[in-house]
Amino acid sequence: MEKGYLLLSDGRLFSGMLFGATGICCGELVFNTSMSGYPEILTDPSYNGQIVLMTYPLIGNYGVDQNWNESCGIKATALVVKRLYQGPLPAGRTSLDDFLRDQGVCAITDVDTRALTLHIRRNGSQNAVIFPEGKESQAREMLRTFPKITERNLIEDVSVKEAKSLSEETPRPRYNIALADFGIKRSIVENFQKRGASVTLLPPTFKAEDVLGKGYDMLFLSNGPGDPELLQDAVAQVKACLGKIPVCGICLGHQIITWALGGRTVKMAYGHHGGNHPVKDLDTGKTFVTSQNHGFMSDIESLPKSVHIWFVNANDNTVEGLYDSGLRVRSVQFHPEASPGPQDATWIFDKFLEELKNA
Amino acid sequence: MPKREDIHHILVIGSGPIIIGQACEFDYSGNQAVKALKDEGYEVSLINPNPATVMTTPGIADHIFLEPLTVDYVEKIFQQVGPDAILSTMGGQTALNLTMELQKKGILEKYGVKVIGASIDAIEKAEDRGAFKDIVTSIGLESAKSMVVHNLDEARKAHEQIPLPIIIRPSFTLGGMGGSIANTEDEYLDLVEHALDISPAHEALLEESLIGWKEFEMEVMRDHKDNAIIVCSIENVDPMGVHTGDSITIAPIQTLSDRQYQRMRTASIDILRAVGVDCGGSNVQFAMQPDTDRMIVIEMNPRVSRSSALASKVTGFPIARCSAKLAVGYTLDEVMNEITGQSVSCFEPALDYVAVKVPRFELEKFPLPSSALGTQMRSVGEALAIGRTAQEAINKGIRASERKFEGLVPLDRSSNDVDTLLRSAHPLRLLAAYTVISEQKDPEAMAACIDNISTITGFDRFFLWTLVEQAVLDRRISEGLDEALLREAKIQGMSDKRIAQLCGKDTAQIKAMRDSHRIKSCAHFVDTCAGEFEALTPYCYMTYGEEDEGQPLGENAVVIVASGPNRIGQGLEFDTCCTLASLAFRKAGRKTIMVNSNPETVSTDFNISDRLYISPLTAEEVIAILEKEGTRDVVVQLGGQTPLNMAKDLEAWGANIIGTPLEGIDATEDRGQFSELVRKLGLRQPRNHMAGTPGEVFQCSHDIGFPVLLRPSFVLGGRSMFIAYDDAGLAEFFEKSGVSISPQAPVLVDQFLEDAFEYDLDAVSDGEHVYVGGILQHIEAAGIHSGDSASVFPPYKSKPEILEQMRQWTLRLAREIPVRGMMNIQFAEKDGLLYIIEVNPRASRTVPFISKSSGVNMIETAVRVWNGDDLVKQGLVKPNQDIAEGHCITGWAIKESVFSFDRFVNVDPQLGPEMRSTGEVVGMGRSFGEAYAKSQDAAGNELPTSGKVVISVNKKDRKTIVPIARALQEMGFSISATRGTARDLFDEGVLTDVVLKTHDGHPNIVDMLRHHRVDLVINTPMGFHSRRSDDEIRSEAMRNKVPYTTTTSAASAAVEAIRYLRRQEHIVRELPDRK
Repeated sequence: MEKGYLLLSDGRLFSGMLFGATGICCGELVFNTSMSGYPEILTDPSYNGQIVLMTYPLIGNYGVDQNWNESCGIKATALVVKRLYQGPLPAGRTSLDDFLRDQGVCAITDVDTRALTLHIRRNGSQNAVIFPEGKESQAREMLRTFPKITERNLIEDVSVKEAKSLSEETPRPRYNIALADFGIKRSIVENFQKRGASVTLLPPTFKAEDVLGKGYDMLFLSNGPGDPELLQDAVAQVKACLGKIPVCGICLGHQIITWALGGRTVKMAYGHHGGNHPVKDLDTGKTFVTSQNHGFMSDIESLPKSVHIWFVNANDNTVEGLYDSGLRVRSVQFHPEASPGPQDATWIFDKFLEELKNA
Repeated sequence: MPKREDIHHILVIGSGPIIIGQACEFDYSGNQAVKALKDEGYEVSLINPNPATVMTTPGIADHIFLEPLTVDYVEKIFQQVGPDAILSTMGGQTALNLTMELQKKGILEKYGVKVIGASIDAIEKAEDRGAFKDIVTSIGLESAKSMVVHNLDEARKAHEQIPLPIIIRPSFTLGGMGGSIANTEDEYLDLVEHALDISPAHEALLEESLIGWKEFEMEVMRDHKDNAIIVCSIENVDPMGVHTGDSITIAPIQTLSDRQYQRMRTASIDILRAVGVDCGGSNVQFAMQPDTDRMIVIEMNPRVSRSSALASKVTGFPIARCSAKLAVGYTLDEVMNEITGQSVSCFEPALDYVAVKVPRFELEKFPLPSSALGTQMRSVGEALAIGRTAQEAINKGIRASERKFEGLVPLDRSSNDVDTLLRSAHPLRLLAAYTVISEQKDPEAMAACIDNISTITGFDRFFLWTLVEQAVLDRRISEGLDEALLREAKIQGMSDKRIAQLCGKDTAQIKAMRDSHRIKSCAHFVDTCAGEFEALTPYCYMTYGEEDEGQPLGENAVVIVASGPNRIGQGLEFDTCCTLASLAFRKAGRKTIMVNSNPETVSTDFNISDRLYISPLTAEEVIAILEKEGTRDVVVQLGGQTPLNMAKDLEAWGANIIGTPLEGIDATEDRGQFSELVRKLGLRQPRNHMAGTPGEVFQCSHDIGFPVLLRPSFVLGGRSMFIAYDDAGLAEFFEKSGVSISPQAPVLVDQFLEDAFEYDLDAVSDGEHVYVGGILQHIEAAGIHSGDSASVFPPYKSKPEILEQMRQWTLRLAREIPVRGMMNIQFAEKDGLLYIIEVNPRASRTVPFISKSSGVNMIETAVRVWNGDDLVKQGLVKPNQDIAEGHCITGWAIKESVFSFDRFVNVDPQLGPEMRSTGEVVGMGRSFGEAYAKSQDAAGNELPTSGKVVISVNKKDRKTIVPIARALQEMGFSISATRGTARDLFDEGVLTDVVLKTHDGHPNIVDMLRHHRVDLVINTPMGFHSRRSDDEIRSEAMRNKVPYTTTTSAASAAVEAIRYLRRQEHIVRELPDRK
């Protein structure tokens, strides 16, 4: 392995050893506290444009199986770990190093990830660059000019370009879902299909008329990368659909719904990324542990009174879900499909589908 | 939901004496629970006859009862203080069983006492293996193929469906006691029969063997709103077939994919829901077939456990405290996470480190055959180590287990059969694997042998790869050490000593090299959240190569070196001393830093000290902590021998040893210096010589005269001690003990005072005055280790002038050494002469016992001495006097030792100069009889109130035995005596049956014992020639759980106890709350 560095926009420099693909790469650095599930995290399109730092120090222990992928390949920009496992694996699995190299993604190990995490906690998520020895000036220049996450369109690369029906995957559908794809995770689609829904992916540039009157039972807004505020076109289309068809969403989808309902989103200091976040259901008082991955959130003050706060984060009381029964809108900020993470919230998909019965 | 208002007063049931499988983790959990319940405003009572515990310290619970854990005594407590609820989940299997018994006997209903923590129904479902299996199946999970049987016919039928090997587990026993694995047709039915015999329900579970599968454990919490979380996941490095308590374990789980992990997680919660655990913690165990997805549910425990204590220390999440809160009605989202202070307890801790637990075995005291580990737990303690990599944590964990291995090291093939160890479930199997790997010619060959070793041992490839990485590192170091390599070695958890060994330098050179390159260790916080939130509670571990966290506490702080993993002779008592010291220092305004590696303990609870380090207890690591914290003050006299052993190195570095100075410690520890001291002060000790060669041992023994006591220097708990009666005995010592004798490691040869009275004296000194907490007199004959003997406070049979002499000698010693702080002296009296056996310049095992029964917290007294308050200022010694002494608050307090011999079928339960007890209990009473009866009851020795007594006493005792025999006869006992004894009794008008001695034919005493025809044995030592037959009687009595006394004083104690028992009073006495 070659010696390399991780440089943050505020000037902090960390050293380590490079693995995966070679090169210089830039992105927003975020930390994820999940102790397993690095293949799912790397292939989650919501991480497009981000360098993922795993706070758990031993990564790669059980290799990679392509069947775990949440999309067609690695979507994260790069990976930062404390200690990469390089030993033997169960039959049929690829090593994490090979997986990253095959997909052309850079990574760095032997980094003081604890200090890095504390730094981000105190100073917020920020852009960072990973580079090999001898490429420092080039890397610094790249980092200096690299746009902020709030200025980047990250959706284009990870979503469908035109509508794509997956109906053949659901033999006898009970529902038809128009799924606006901003970078969908495979397991969300599978959760709908498992419940008898036929899914059609719409590009992020979809129009309300692509949805209304086309035989769909629901408009679903997917997860995805980046700042929801940049997606005002999509917000306008969703607004046009409100009240005419049930609208549900997860993560970025929830944030788009927030905007469509008249609210706004704000950037969080370092977001929620991990598999241990407690979420409280304000209707039942129950709390459960969820998988989360978001750097923006709904501003609770900005939401109209008609909107019910469904869930809040039990730690920091931020909005984790909302619904409006009159408009048949329902969304969650966390990831009920887990993958990776605890599967205690898969019932949320049933709740989404219940909106159809309320029609 | 607010706390329950329908209950006001809760009785917490403790777990009683320490035995294998049930140790100080229940002091830790009980202590947390009591504090949590008191915080909520409940009145809390506690019953636990274990005086060594922190939880029984006055002031912790509102009402403390050091009474036996039996239905009768609990009922009396119900009558006396009127609790309206009992918490059953904090005292291990003992508390669950007692709760079930209270329920069955209708006592709970009679007094309107509610069970909180786990419902009777949930306990039954989880504990009854058949019912549990049905539940597992009903929620779509898989159990091992199994059947419950009640007799051999059923067992034969079961075997038609379950192939060999079959695991046999008796129902309702502690820690898998009596479990076994049948590998052949021949042994199958025998083992089933044994299991049925020892199961209280006469029931056993037969199971498909999952030996070699991967084993996992999940620590789960669930509340009454169905909120559930996984606190910690644990992977066993040792595969299935080794009891979890005996396995090296690692947390979190390392080798499962997220899909597999989540399946296990969901299954764990489903199981709690189905069993009905809805207000507390449980653990669920799983097996997974290697390289497949087949997952088997093994078992669950609906209570806090050893694993939950471990999980609490691994994650920082206080499971017991939280369980107690859930038990009184709170939900997880209502309990704040105290570590962060800004998140709730309804979350799952995220780790950014690896935690490794290494069990501690007593291979010398309880030798194990090569394939010894199985379904029954054998380890006596455990050590926890935390590191940023598996390699670092494993190296530290092995070191922390204090088995003299400096981390991953190859075994010496000349004294270890590595290939057999590799194929056996043995504590040294991991090191055997390491040995084989490190012998390969190059890194490629090391990697290539992983698959093969994995197949043989069942260790996952992941762990073997860790060993390969260590072996490669070792080899690089041995080829030449440079700065970068040294840094890497430290990052991977290697000690200076090990690095020095590998590159042919000495330890000091490595330390110097580290200092010159500024390779320093740094602290990290255990914060439950991988850095996501700021940690408020300072719970740390040390690592290398990363950024240091936490401001140094500075010069005001004092480091307390605790006692490490439990072992025979060094356990809970010392942890209690360390804990109480930390509390006392803080009360006096000093900051404390606790250093310990034992995850079961109260001292490693995060709110006992200002800062806590989980660290191996080695000089190097303690020095690193002193350097980090910027203090020099360190306490070494409270953690047993472990801290004392490093005192010299700490002082050489520049530490300030608090209390008795190092020269004083040496003067008592070093046998030669000690003899000099005794001579100088005009005291008396048994004649003794130091012998540096076997030849000298023979010579000295003849000079001193037989019998002689042989002991190697610098040992605790009488390790390798031996009494020799003649030359043959000496030969046996060399052969059996394996002691290597040299002028550097000499053996002390002592005159053995046969038939003497022995005493233990615990005192605190300020160098000028002495406060004697109390003097204990042993009940058993001399020659039995003080830690194994029952002892009485105050002395029950001694002349005032002898006691006075003890005090004066103590004072002289304390001033000469000079002792500042704790001291313990062992005395013996023979034929009116007092001898000093040994002086320990540290807290002893009996300090918590004396503190509680005298009402004076001796540890706090010592801490105040260290802080400058002399004993006069403390009001313990009058201004014009030199010495004062405490007294027993109830009149009599008797400490009885508890053994775990039933865990080791093949170990001779014989007592001797080497300590073998694992725990202790106390009996307190106004009368001697009451105290003795309770001590026996609490220890599980049932004194008879009727039946048959066998008496065989030596000539000297023939007079004293007469009133004892007469009293027993008057109470309706029938008496058998051996010929001589019977004749002398007959002469005094006591008519008895005559029974044969062991070697006089059949049926003899041993035969009678074997056939359960004896209820009490009184057998005083007949001298050397009948020693073997005495031993046989004692062994047989212990095996059959028949009370056995070796002195007439013990016999008269038993008589008084029997009188008390016959009155059926069950008096309970509340420990007064004196600070």
